[in-house]
Amino acid sequence: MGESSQSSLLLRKQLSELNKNPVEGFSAGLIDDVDIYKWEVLIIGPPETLYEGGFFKAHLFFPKEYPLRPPKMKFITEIWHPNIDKNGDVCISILHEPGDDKWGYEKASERWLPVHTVETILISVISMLADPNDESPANVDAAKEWRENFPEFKKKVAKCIRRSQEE
Amino acid sequence: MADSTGAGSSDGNGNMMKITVKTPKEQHTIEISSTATVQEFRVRVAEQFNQPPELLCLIFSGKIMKDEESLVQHKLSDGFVVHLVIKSAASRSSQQEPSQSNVSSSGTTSSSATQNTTQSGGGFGLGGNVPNNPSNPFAAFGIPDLLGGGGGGGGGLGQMQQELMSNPEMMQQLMDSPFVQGIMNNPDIIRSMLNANPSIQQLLERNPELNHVLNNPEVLRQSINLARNPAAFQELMRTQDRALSNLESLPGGYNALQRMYRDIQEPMMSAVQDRLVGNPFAALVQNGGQNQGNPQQGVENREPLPNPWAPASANNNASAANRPTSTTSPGPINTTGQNANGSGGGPAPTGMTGLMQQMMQNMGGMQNLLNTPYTQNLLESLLGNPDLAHQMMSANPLFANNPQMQEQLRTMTPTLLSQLRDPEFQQVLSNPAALQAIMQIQQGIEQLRAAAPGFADRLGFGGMMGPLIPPAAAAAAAVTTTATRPPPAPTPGESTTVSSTTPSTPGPETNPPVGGAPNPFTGLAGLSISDQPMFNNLNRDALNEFMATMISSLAQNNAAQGQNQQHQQQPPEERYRAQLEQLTGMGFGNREANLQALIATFGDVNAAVERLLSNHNFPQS
Repeated sequence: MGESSQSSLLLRKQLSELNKNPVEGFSAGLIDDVDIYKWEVLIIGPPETLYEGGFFKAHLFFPKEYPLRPPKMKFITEIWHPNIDKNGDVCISILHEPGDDKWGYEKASERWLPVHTVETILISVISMLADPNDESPANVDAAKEWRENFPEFKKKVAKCIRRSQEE
Repeated sequence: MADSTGAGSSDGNGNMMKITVKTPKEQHTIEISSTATVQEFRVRVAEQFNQPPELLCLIFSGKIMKDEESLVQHKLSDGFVVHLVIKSAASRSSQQEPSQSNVSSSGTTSSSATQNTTQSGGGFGLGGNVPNNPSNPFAAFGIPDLLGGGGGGGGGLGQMQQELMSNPEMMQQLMDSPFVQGIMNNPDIIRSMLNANPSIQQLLERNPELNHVLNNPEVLRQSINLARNPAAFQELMRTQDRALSNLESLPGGYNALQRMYRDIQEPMMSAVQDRLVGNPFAALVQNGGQNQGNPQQGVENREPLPNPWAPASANNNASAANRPTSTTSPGPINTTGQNANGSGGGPAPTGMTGLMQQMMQNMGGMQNLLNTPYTQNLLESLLGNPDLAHQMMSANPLFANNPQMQEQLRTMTPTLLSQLRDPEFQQVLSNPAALQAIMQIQQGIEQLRAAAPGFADRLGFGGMMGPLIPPAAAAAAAVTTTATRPPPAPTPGESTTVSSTTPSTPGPETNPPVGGAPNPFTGLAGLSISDQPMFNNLNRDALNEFMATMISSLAQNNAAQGQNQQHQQQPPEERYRAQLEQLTGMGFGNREANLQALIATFGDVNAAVERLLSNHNFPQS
């Protein structure tokens, strides 16, 4: 059981709120009920995007210091996207440690802020799926393909979706 | 844990729990045993959403729910919400193409839903800035029906709204008139109005949650007030739109909007749309195809409604000059007044003339008007209770000081009323030729008055008209004379002579009842008549008050029938005695609170209980 620190309280509150009033586009729960810091989310491929129809499983790992430090997010379902690396790690500015501008692209205001919740993170990720940012690609091949060989990119995404549906 | 085979095990030993299942478009709450399997759950969901179970993808807590699992495994408990994605059947064959809609939750629908929501506001009297927006709160509240019926010439909802919206001044006038005020200040009337409306009833049946909206006098009153004050209304619309767009940008706000749209807007809208199609008054109004003289029944009108009570510029002649040249067919008439929708100052056919013209163009509409439940109800209640009618009239200041007139009224009331329902009279009203004749007679009188005012006065029209005209046209004339009581009529008493004299007119077609004919319209068309020149010499306030009293007593009587005859006159304790006892019997001990709740809900015990309970939990109101 998670101790009743600020972080676990915050996360429990978010979990119960999401159970009762889930947000459109994803569903969130815990990987293991005894660990409030490890979340499992299922992202419903956003309609009218290439990812429509897919069900993408991802894990969120929160540090004990949450909300002062961001969680890490990793897609478990294989997904072909410029901003998700081949291991499934999500590269999105709001999940970057505050002050640690290792990509050199973002202003502090674009990086992690303690106001972010599971919900705001996922909304960002869903909008990233719909609208990739090819300036800071985590999957360079995908980014290149997205720019230069879009039909091939589409085909790869379609394959991911098919696989995600079989899971 | 339930047995995995499913069938019938949902009534096992687990507690029932309510699970909400939602797609981006709709949501349903499903009550199911906590020991049920996912398979059972899926079957139930499939029933609710009308989809084959195999296309459903249920997602909870980051996991896709599989048939062989149980709800317990997913730690579902009461009040939780499960995501549902309905795969489209087509996707099975077209999975190659990712951009193909594999999931039925398409973005188009959701974004258009938002649009609608934003556009039409909450549906609680907040929306409806778009003139032809069917979800206008007044439409939903049936008010235009009253006004439409009141106009005699009637108005389809759409027209009425369009008219009113495009002419805030008129709306204000309308709302400020003692007549409307009288009605609006009496929640009982509004309520009975609403209850008398089959569409509203349907709406309420389908959406019990709307009940409290309509049962809440505050909401009604607010809507009315809004309507009276165009500035406030516009301001409200602006803030409303802004608030909505702000809401949309909030996390979760979009969902709330959608929910709102789904739960409130859609049912209201569909109800209102149904009504537009079936609205008996819709046919009363000329539509865009006016010049083709098309039958317009069942067609949604787009043109503004003829304005029977726009400040009339005494242009009887003007409108009469425009009367149709065809004598047999309800041909198109296009008086400028009828199209003057905005200015309020524009020339409008004076009440009765305009009404007649409308009647001529809309035989079907006329028939409909006479056959509407409202009219029938009014007539029936009057018939069933001649005393009421008499009381109404004698209580009115207009007649109060005129015993002679009262006497006349008393004697003629019953005949008058029964005549209203005379099929023959109704036929006259729906007979183009007869109406045409009436028009001509009326015009003749106008001309006569213009040419020889003194002579006309001496004739006194009202009283003398019957004998003066040939019997063949007498029936028609009887209608007309009342309608065109000449302005010089010196006392209100004069007007009664019309009806009392006409019955004595000889001839088979001039049976006495016809004399009373115009009265349904005077009764219903209080507003229009009060603006007519023929009443200029009367005290307008008195007239308005008369109309208000008349309508409200009618409505009261209607509402009270079968319940409590002296409803209105009694103090609430008396009026709601039975309901109070019921509430006490149910265990609501606070008599004062019970009484308040009953007053607020017009004596509806169920609504009162709801109110009491909610007040108990949330002591804000």
